[in-house]
Amino acid sequence: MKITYRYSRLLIGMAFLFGLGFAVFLSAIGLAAAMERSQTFRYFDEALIGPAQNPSGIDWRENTDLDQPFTPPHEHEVGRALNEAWGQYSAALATGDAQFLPDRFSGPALARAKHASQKPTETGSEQTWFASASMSVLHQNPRPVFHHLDGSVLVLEDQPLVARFVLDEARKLTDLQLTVDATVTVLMNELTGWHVYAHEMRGSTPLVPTRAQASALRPSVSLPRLAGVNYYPAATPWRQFWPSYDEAIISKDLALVRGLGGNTIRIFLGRNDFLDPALQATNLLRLEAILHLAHTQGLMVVPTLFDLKGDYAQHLWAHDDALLRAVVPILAASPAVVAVDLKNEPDLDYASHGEGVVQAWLAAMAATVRQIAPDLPLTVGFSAVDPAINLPPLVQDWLDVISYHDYAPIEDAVARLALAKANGGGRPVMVTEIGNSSWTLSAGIPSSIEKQAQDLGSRLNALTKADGLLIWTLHDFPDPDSLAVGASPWVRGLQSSFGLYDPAGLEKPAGAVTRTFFAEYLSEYEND
Amino acid sequence: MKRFILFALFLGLAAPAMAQSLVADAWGLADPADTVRATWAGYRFKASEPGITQEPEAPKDILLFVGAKSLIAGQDPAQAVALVLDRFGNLAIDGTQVTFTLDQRQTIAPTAFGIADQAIEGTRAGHYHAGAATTYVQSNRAEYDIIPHLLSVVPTLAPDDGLAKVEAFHDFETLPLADQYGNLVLGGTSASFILKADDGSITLLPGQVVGASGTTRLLARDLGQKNALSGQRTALVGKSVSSPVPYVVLPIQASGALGIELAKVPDLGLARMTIGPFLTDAGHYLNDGAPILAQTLLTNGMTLKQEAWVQDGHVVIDLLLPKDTSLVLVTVDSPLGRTERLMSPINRGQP
Repeated sequence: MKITYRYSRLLIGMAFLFGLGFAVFLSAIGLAAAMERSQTFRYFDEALIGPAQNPSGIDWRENTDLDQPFTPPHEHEVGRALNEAWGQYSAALATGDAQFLPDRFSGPALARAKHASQKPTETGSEQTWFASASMSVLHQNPRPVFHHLDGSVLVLEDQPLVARFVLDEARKLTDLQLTVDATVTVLMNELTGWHVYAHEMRGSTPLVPTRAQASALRPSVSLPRLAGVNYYPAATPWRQFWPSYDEAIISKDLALVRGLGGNTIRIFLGRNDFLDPALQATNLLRLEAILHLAHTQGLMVVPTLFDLKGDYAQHLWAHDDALLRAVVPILAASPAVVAVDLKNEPDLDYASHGEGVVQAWLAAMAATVRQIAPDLPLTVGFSAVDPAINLPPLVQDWLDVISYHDYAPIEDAVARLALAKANGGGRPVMVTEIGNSSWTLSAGIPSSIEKQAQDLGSRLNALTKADGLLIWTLHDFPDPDSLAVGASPWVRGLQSSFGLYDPAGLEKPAGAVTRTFFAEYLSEYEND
Repeated sequence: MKRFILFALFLGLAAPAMAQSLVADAWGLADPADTVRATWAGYRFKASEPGITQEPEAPKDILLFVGAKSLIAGQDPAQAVALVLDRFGNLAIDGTQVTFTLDQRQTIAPTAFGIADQAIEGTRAGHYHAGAATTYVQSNRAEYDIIPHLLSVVPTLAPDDGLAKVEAFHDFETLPLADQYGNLVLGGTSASFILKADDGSITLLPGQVVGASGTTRLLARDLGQKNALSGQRTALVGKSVSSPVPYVVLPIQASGALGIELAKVPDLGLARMTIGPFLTDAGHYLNDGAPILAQTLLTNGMTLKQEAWVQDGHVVIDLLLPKDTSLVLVTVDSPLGRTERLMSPINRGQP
């Protein structure tokens, strides 16, 4: 009887401890969730993403022999109207809400825009795909061919770059047409400004996916083997990189990369840093500078565009096109640029924005880059191998390199690489992010610098067949950007310690592992 | 199971197959069964198929824009623009012949991008109607004006005696004003007159065109009040100034003796002095508002000064006289000159 009593007390005690532990666990989850939902910003502009002023996606062609001269102020006013008109139309197609169309359309054009953006009320498969048909005017290249003497009527011949695409019920891409159209647009200068009064297409040239072509600067279309790191300075990662650009620090860091035996850095161009007219000019100069710096130190560069892009809405695609037209000529002119990564881990946006829209955007951006710089090899750094190899051909065929990030269990790393190569269509396969955190809470949990070195070494050795390997990242980041990694203390802790160098600037054991591996990895390639 | 696989395969292929049947046009991707959209002219294509161009139908509507609406004769070009559409709102096919009717004359112009245009010029001022038509349809009427070429107008002053008088109206006029094309200047147009006096003073008289002649009216007040003031006058229309013509502003003369009457206002203890009528040699009262200075000498040696203005030819001044004083002498200064008058005794204490 006595034994039974003690046994029951033991059970009660264990149950209490279990309950207490469970309550603490739930509280921790609740706290993490709450912190994810509420995020503290120091300044308003950290919370508000996007340029204060919209960029112009219009390149005016020269006009001659007009009854009324078409001057730069005209170009500004009409350009703004055109941008707004096609932006509103894209938004109306995407949402079915046509209430803003009269702001920039009138007459037959308004009737057509409304009709085209009207969502069918009937249900059924035939109506479903029609409801998801979208169009985005990415770039305009108009030439005024008639301008009324009193400035009230304007006719433009345009050669817009247009993306038309269709999504199915699962928001997957079923059709995508990228074209350079020949259009005629009649605009009326009405009480509330210029309105598109009529718009017709006179011809269309499809943009067929192509691979990068050789040029004087890039005589070979085959890429060298890449070994290197993803790069941010230790103290100014993510959004702080371009505003706090410091050439002295970057120069020392690039020397560290060379010291590791690396030949490549992957850098990130924040969308807002290169889109906002107030920031763009300065950051383009800084981009030129870092490319030059890398080249002089014998490093190749994989610039990753549109970092921290938060929205794939079609009416914003023209802004992205404008960004490319500012940035890509600089990338194309630099011998350091070995390939351009269009977007970091866009597959992580599939769930929130829709797989089809993201993929259509990728193809549209690829087509734009190809138009501007046919010799620049393109890739997209997917977060895993599956989205990298499961792209529709309409998108995949623009890419010169298959690239993905390998953070999945190490046991299957070889198989994943083999899968990528088997589905790569003969293209080089690069793993542009691998890495392990050394973050330690206590007693080597969840990790340690020794475990980081061991895991990284294992993963590098598993991926020796890759055509490029870039480690995340050169430095630890004591204060990782909450916009990029979220507010969860656990995730922030892990993200703070992926570097090969610790916050004091000392090389961690993973650095030595990397140095040894890179030496062999690149010498194998050179011997081949 | 086999049926299920076949069905799944059908579902998998159905969507792309459906997408392939979409038609791309200027407004995106269209349902081939969309009958409204099928009427929209222009190039349209299906993926992997050669495109076709949907031609517009015959013109059904013409929108006519004429601008500028007010042209200066012989100087401003204007333009009549016809936007030609078919019944679906498509731009008319290039080369569609449009007949413009401007000032009852007809010209023909072909369309390009749905638009035909015709230049408008003219030297004959007036209000005009414009129209545009094709074989099938005509536009609404548009209107425009051609106004005289003001910069080419050279004013000439109309002959008059050039003799103005103080406190009297004098009208200055030009001869009928016409531009280099013979168009008479429209009523209401600004026409100013400038008086440059020999003493160096300049007077600008704003005026306007009435019945094709520039006109203004002078009421001389501070000019030549005591002595005649002479000078040169010109007219200004547009940017042109007429040749100068002499003018004189003469002092005005009184006609007859100036009446000055005194009466008592018992309740208020006032003496009310009524001066007038101020009769001029032009046969009318001195103008309302003409300034008057009345000085009254009292029996106690004081002088009271009072400024006033003529109204209906008279001036009424109320005087508060000190006790046991009365008026001795009244002096009135007006544009008609000075009048002094000895007065009958009247004082505050008198009944």
